[in-house]
Amino acid sequence: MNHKTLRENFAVMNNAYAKYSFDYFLDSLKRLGINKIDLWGGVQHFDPFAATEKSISEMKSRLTEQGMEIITYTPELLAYPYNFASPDRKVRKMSVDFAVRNLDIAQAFGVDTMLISPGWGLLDLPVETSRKYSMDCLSRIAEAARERGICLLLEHLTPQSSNLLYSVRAVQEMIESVNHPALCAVLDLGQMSVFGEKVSDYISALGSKLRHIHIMDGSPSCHLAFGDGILPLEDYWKELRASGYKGYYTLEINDGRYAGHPHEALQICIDALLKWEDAS
Amino acid sequence: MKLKDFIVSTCAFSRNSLEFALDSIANAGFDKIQLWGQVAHFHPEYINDEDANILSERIRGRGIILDSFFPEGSIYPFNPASPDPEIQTATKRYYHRCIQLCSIMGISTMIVTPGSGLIDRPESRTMDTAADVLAAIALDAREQGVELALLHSACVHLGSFAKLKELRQRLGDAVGIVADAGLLAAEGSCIEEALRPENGIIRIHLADGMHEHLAFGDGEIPLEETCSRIAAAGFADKTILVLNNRRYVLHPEKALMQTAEAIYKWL
Repeated sequence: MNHKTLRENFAVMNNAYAKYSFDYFLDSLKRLGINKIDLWGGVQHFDPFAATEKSISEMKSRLTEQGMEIITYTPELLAYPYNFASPDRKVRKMSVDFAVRNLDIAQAFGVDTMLISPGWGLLDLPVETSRKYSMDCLSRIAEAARERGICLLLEHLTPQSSNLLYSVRAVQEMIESVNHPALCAVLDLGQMSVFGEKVSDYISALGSKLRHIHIMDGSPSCHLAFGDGILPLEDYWKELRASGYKGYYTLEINDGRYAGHPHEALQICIDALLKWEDAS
Repeated sequence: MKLKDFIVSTCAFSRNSLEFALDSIANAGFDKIQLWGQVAHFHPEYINDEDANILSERIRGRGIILDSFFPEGSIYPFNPASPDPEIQTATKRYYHRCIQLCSIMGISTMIVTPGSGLIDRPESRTMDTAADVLAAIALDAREQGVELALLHSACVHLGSFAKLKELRQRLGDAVGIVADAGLLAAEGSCIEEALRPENGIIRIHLADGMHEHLAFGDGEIPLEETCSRIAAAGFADKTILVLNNRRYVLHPEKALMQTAEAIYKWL
């Protein structure tokens, strides 16, 4: 792969750098030769609660001056106190409000996609009940996304994180059930491998609804640097290219083992990518 | 130590209802809990005073003792050591509410995460910022009659027992420490030394593994011996089981039962 292909297609998510400042992250990107950011809205780097149009505009200008571009926005939903599938109505309302606030942030940044997770059902409640709560919230958020010209990227999760979306079939069913043009999907190659699924499963099930890829190595789980796991990543990339997928790939290399040296972990990935065959 | 000496943290049940957690804890033979404040069970920002009262009555009505309150602080958007003034303010506001809830619910001890710095920023700034923010929280706690304790956990700049002691010195003796037995072992600290009164430990978090929070038997810690030493130091009824390793998320009740059975075998 040449540097041009790398820079055009690949972004880095800053959650890998959660123990470092955002300035450190930007410096690391420059050294890696990457100029695209999947902005994670964790308070270590970006405070979604206190952000204003002015502060976002200033951040955008700063990034533009440095030749950087935010290509998508990933609010922190799983770890923070929100849950679209909660049996508590107040929690669901707070969660939808937080998601809409983040849509405003995404719009201010000028991006047209934002990650959304389905929430998680309590394991001692019927999963169908939790699914309905999630669907209802996702419908409302999708409408708010449409009003802002943003497409939601629905993320599948391992069973330890959520009992709602841990197969391609579940993702497809959720998208079809919500049935909103602003609800699309992100394919996380690590989660896919944990589920024992294939890239072709997602391509055939989701088609044009597949709008973004999270790429990492895995064993098959964990979000590992390339070479630290067992996944045939170059094969996945070739298959996605051959399918006509032209969207972005986010390098999401945030396993805890790299927390003290994320730049080095990302450098390993970049070095590996540059050895891949050029796209045809 | 007896089974009923142990306190169980509800944080092991992150994907279950609080009722399920309480049922599981009672079924395993325990009757004391550390109440974890997280959106699945009990989130300080969402619960009103009346519901907090009802919740505490419901828990006590089951014959369960509320030992302490542990509001989630590691992964939530609050950080006493953050260089961002907005986050410092939000953190104080969050813990102010947590302290109020302790007062309403009759919980005398609250655990606070000391905060995490940034690796590329000076450690001294992390310590100074955390000390300032925590001083305000500690004053708040004192005024409400709540005992505050700093959590021993893996975080940047403030993750070692030595650093916690340093932070505590700056805050004064009214603030205690909740030590993590696995972290103490990983740091090579002697438990008897750590538990000396001048170090201010008021609770111990205990699990198998070196800060992996595993069920008893799933790690390498010599737990029967460790518990004897804890008991000999006078902490038999101040030991909290924290079994929240991710591998148990789908069946935390099994991890707790396994731990109870291991303890029971020693009796």
